[in-house]
Amino acid sequence: MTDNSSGQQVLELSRQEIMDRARKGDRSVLPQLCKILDEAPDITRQLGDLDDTAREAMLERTAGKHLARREAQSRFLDDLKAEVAGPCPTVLEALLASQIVLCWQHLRYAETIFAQARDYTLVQEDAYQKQIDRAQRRYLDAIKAIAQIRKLGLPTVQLNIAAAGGKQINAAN
Amino acid sequence: MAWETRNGRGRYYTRSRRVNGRVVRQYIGAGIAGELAAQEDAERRAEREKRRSAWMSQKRELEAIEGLVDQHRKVLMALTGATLLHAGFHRHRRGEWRRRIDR
Repeated sequence: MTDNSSGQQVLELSRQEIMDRARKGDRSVLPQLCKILDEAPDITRQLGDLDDTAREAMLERTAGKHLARREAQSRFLDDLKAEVAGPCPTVLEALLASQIVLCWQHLRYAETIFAQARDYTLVQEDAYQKQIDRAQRRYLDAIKAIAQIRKLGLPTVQLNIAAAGGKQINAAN
Repeated sequence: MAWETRNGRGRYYTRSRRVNGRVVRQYIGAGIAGELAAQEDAERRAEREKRRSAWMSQKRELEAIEGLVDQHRKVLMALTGATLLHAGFHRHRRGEWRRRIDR
């Protein structure tokens, strides 16, 4: 395959495919990757929406209409997120911290559902156990990811914001 | 489980069950005995259907939530990989991320 056709192929890849290839370490997608990272606020918003929806659905199930319990659980999750993220997290660290908490919440949720289940069949028990196993794997993977990021010591991302005719603000995060 | 008529001589209630891989039909009887057995079976079937329906609904809920968590994980893992790649790291033999050394 020529370089030109390879480049053309890369251009035709969807954002998900580019991200997947980047995750595997494929440097040929680097130009498209830069473009995607420029649009990062969109991705972080998408992640935030997913986080909120999943979190609310689980709170709905574990706390129900009990407002005090719901609020207590919600605050506990926020505290946990802040604790995992640490004092001055980068954007990526903060996102990974929210993922750890989401995975932890999901693991607890899966265990609670199983503990509350009555008269389940062997097939159902197997399904519950597999769900717990997957939740635990995701939780450990999330912890591993944040540890890896901290170990590698990623450079901070600098945002340069300048309003027309105004002062430039440089924020490092 | 069914009502049967043999040679036009009244209705009999029967139950079928599997014994050593073969279906064995048990004749319960006609009249009140048959009626009671039929009612008992209907209640048991309704209970089983109720439990199956509850399980299906719970399974759908579990899958929906797991889908959201998994989607979040996929997007974030991709973003992490992309950020590392962009910052000059590479995956060593598809395993751990290492800083690229320019020679």
